[in-house]
Amino acid sequence: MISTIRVIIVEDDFRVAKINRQLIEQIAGYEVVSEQRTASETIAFLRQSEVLPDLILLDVTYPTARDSIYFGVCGGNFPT
Amino acid sequence: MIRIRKEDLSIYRTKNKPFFNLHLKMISLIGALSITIILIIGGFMSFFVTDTLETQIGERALSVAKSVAVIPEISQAFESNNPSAIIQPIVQKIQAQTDAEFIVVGNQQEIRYAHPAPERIGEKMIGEDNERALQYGESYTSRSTGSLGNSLRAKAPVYLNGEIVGVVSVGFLVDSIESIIWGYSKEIWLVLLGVCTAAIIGAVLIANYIKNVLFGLEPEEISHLLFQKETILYSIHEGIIAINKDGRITMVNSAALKLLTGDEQRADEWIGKPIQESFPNSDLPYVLEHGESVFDQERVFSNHIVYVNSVPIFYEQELLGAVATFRNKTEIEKLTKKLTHIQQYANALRSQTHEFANKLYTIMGLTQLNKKDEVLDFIRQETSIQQHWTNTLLDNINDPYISGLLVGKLSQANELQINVSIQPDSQFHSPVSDVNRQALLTAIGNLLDNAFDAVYDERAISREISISFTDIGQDLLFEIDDAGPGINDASLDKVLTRGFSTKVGTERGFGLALTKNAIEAANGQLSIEPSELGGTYFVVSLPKDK
Repeated sequence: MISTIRVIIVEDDFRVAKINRQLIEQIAGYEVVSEQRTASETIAFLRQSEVLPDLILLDVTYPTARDSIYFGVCGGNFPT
Repeated sequence: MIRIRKEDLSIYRTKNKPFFNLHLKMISLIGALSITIILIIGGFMSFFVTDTLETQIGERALSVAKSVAVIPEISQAFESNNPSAIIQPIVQKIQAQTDAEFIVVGNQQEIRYAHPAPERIGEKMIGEDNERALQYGESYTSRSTGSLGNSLRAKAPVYLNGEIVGVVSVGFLVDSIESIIWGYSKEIWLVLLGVCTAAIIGAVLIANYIKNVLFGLEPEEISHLLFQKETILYSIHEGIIAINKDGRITMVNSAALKLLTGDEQRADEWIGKPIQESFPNSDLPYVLEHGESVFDQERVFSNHIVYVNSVPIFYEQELLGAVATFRNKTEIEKLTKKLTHIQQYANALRSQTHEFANKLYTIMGLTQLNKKDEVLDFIRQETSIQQHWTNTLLDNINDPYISGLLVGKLSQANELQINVSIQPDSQFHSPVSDVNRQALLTAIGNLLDNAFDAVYDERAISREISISFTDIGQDLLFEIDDAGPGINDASLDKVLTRGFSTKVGTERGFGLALTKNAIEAANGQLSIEPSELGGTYFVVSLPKDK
């Protein structure tokens, strides 16, 4: 049996995040486990998660550069 | 710091140098001049030596001739039957004692009584130069060719009982005289040849030295560079003052004169003056002393506030002087303000585009999910929010520049998920003057950017900003509160200084200083207090135009 794919949505615009959640939840086998607004919030969330997500749906166009850069720097520190 | 190396200057040299270049010209000119002078000196000295020696030898011959002519035995021998038998031995002895080549004694008919070659005794004297002695009794020297060859000879008459009976001829052969002269002049010519060689070596050394000093540049290239330098210096807007290593002004360009004196024609009054006397607050003496550059210093020169860069000039480790370049502060601030406004509008446009793309995405998503009613609701809602903001701002602010900037900034806040609230009754109804508009645009743009950064800080209480503006009363007031971490007391004094920032980054620390300057230029005030929201509370107050 194929287990559910756990997805985190990282999106600063709540309207877009909401649409993305609805679009993902329409697909069988995918589950949105969390919505995060910023890079720092996401990293904090991931650090305290017991089970890491299978997929991160990440908005690459952020109004502040610091979020994109933060991901770039911290991304490699998590086990895959 | 300007460090000039020799190789840096080689770029100014033309690639195809003419064969007869400055170096060669100098060597040829100095060499030719030296050789000519030496030849003239040598020729004159040779002539002098020849003339002196010939005169001396002539006089010596004449005195020998006169001495021989007055010997009683010789004059009396003329009456004897065989005069040569008496005269020849006497003359031979005398000739051996002197250096004379020959001593010849002849009678009125020029028949020889004595001669170095005894077989020629009795023959007629050759030379045809005895007339003055035999006819007129004169003693003299002459040059003529005799039986022994070309000679310098002295003639003296021989008297017996008051009458001229013969002639004594004492001679030195020209060949012998010339060899004596050559003996003297050979040394002179040798010395002159040495001097000539030294002059040519000197010419080469001087030419090499000048070539080095001029970095191998031809005179035409130097004059071209000079014109070029003058044109550059007098066409740029920066004021430039250069000093030499003694601290004296060597160059002032027209922009500097215009800024400092208002008269760009009187450069000569400044040249040569010590910098400390002309501009006591200049950094140039410090730069000269320490060999270090000083950048972006705010200084007052002749009642103008200027930004000054002062740099030392080094050539191959040697300090040659220093140069200060400066610009009027007002001009720079005008440019910076323009640039800041452009950046703010660009940011507003970018955030509006991003916001628009997100809205389109939302509509597309809702459509894909077949939520038709929600699409319509969303579009109505968004339109009314947008319209509300735009209408509120356009209705309450008369000035399109200020309302445009605020609409842009609110879009940016929306994108950043920052909640900006505009206090009710906010209004700018009266017309705004240019000075106040510039001050307000600079203040609103920078203070809002500052607030956006503040509420994004990790220590911020919430992402709340509140603005309020009014033109009721004597002043235009613009207030902004943020829920950021606030500015602590230690930073409060410094925060309005150019270049100071609590934030990290290279282009930080200009916004608040620019805001303060713009407000002061409009005779207004900027005050900073703690905000009720928890962060900073800025109040801009500008006097209305009368």
